[in-house]
Amino acid sequence: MINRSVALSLLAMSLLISTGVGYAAFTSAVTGTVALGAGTLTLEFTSLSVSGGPSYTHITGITPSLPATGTVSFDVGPVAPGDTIVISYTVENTGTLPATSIVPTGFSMVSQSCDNVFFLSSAGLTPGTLAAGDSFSSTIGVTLNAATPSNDQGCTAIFSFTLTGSIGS
Amino acid sequence: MMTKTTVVSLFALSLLVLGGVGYAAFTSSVTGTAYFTAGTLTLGVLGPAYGTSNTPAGGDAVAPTCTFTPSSDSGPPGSATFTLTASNLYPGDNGCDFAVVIYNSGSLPATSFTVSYLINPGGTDTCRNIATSGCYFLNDFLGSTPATAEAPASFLNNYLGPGASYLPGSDTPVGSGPMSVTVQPGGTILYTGYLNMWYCSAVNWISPYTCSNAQGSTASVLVTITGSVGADTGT
Repeated sequence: MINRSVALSLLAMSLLISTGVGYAAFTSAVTGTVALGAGTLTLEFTSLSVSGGPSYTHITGITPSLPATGTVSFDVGPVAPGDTIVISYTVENTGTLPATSIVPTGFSMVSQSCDNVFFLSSAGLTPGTLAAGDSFSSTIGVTLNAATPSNDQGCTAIFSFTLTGSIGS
Repeated sequence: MMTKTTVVSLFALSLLVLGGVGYAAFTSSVTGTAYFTAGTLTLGVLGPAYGTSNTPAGGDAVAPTCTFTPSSDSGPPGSATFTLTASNLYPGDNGCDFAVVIYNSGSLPATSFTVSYLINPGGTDTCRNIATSGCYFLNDFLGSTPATAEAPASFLNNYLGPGASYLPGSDTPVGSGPMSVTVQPGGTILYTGYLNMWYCSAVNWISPYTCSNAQGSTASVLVTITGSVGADTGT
């Protein structure tokens, strides 16, 4: 059995230990802060131009202004029957990470207001990878059917193409 | 209690989650959306540059009666039409000089032209019954304003004479071209000419009998000037 005096002594000592009273010591600490940041992969259109076709065909209305990422829309015209318009575009990886894969998708006509007058005639090669800070240029060609009748003047067509870069698994 | 299999599966799944294996990678996409537009080629008649002339030609004293009627809203796309009528001509007479300004209000250049004619369409006048010859011919010129290397200010386009002897009254147009002349959008080209009534003395063309038979006839010429650009498919 613990007598009352012993019990009181133990209780007092416990309080001292728990509060630190009477146990001050010299201390020193160092703290290291490690900032971990994920890299970025950002593809941007940096240029769009007509590289092949008649002199009267131009690109206008590029929205948003280049350079731009995401979806960029633009107008091409006017186009006469039999004309093949080659659009050159440049894509740059403005991120900090390389694109270890570049996948072109959706190189196709979305819609047109007349029957069978416009068609996709070519799609240039695209690289399989793209290092950070690097760019590449390629082309897309669209032709207005040579047999397009005069009544189809003013017809429109929408073409779309997507390039997706990725890194990581 | 969890079975051993369940425990192992959960452990493996945890590893996948922690390691990111099989999950989203960093991606970035760019999409180009191109709106292509077929251009337009729209020709119209601005009007006679100096009108048709009722004044006597060649110093003679006989004045023809001439009218000029543009009809730019008719004809196929890319064309301009007008009608020129003349009366009070006599055999061997020239008259009804005209100069027509053709305007390209489309978005495409016209790179070549054809000109087609219907003389006395419908064939209601006397000349329709002349089997061996026409009464009238059109002498016309298509030029550019200003002159270019591709098209001088005025060059002979067509001489609608003997080769068109069957034309009066025909409903089938006869034309010439195509001629390589470029008229940019907003540009103009000058089309000029005059009508002539054939000489009666021209043997094998109009006999004295038919010449007299053509008295009182009216020449009516429907002119269609068609520009084209791009592949020529005849459409």
